[in-house]
Amino acid sequence: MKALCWEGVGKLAVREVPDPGIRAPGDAIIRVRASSVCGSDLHLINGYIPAMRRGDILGHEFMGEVAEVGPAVRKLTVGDRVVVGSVIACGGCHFCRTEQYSLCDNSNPQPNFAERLWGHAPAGILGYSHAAGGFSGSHAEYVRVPFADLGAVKIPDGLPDDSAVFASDALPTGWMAAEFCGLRGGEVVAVWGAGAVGQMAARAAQLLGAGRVIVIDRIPERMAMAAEHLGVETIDYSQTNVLDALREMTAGRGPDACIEAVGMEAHGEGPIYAYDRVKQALRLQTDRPTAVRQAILAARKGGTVSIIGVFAGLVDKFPLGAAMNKALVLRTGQMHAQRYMPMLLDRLAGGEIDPGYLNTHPLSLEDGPRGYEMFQKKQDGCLRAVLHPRPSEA
Amino acid sequence: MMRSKYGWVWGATAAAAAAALAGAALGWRIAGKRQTVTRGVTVDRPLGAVRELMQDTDVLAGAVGRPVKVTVQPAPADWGTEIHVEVDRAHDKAARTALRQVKSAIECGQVLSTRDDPAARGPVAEAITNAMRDRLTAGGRP
Repeated sequence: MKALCWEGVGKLAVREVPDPGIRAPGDAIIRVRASSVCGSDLHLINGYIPAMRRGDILGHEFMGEVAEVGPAVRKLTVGDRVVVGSVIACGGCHFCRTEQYSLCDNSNPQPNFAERLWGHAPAGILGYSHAAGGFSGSHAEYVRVPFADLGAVKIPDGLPDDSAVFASDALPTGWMAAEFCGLRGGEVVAVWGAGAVGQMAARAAQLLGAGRVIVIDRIPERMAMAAEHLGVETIDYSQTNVLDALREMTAGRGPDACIEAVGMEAHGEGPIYAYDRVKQALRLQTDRPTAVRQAILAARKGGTVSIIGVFAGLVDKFPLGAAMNKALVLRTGQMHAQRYMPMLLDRLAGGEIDPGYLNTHPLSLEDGPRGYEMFQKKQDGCLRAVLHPRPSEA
Repeated sequence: MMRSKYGWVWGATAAAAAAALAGAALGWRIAGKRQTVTRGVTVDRPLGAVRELMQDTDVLAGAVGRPVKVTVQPAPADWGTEIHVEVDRAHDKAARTALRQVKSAIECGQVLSTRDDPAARGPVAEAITNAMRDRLTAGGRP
């Protein structure tokens, strides 16, 4: 089969690879119909998340059809149209039984790297380096899904592929970010990042009761898209002092909750951003916490900062003093896909959320390298490129 | 003049110090190797169920490659059951790997592996990748 592979830092290629097979009783083989690029893939492609090997298949946000099932699979049959969570969860450990699926104890078969870096290993993730288990990813014609009864959820009839695919990752990630905010109704929520996750976090915040949502970015097309599809307010951080603007918009209080949906390759303005770039380039810090800092400084006293952007290691100049003295609640984590997917598919089917517009660039699998280039460089209004191994299904 | 007269004293002192250091290091190493370590894992199942499964301690002994002393006890709060093994330090890594695999087998009925997952690699690159997989799999904290 064909697959989009990592060929070294900044290099991608479509290569011929062996087909996957059933390896364990709970496995399913999924024929991929749609597989989205994701901002977190850029951290792998650019070498910021280590333990990639040449020839590894990328991709973790996808949907498709069940092609084959192992003998222990009970809920799926061949031909079912399913969306698959990017995080792999066994269903039997303490964390899975308490619905904290991204902390699964048994789904990362190569836990040593994560344990040395973070103290404990979280769950495995499809197509996300050998630090996350070394699983082959979904930018391919077929992919093996372990513990498929839990990880693959049937898609309601009538829901288009290009909407359903975002129930795999961007939408549950955004939902969890908004859920972290503990909204009761009427709050002001600021979201850093108008990418797919940021926009889904904004929509989730609206559905969970936020009275006002403000999205911060610098890409005009993305802010326009968020304003048009979600009815949110926007701040262009390249033109405006974000902290001043948020204080003014909230009569001096600051937002009740701040969602960081940017992650370790954040962009910014001014000397502190230059400092972050230099430190990251010299590997004196692994991540650029530009947006996290701003979110902490912006949040109101006693407010919440929800960090859902991906971070890998160490950051510098983290304003812990502000977090402590303002009594902020900090919440963070990889999303628990299996907890949210069924509920979100119902909401998609009911029309409460329509993420189909996020797919600005439906492409063939062969166009994957070009899709990532457009996505990374934010060219041609690219918010998400969704790869279709069979373009006729796009 | 002084240097040539007393040079042998300095030389002998240095040799004695080096010998003492080497001996201490060797002794420490031997003593360390004789030590046993205790490793544990928490399994999200009730004590009775785990005890029944662990009655045949050959499961762990086989995985570790030598007899091990196994104890099973309740974990605090709702964490299930703790399995502890006592093993000599030389088999520490094997014991930790075995505990992780036993936990996975009890909790979800299988031990995952990504060896042989598809990738665009030749046999040599795949062999190197598999060696890395082994390093990332063996040992660690259960």
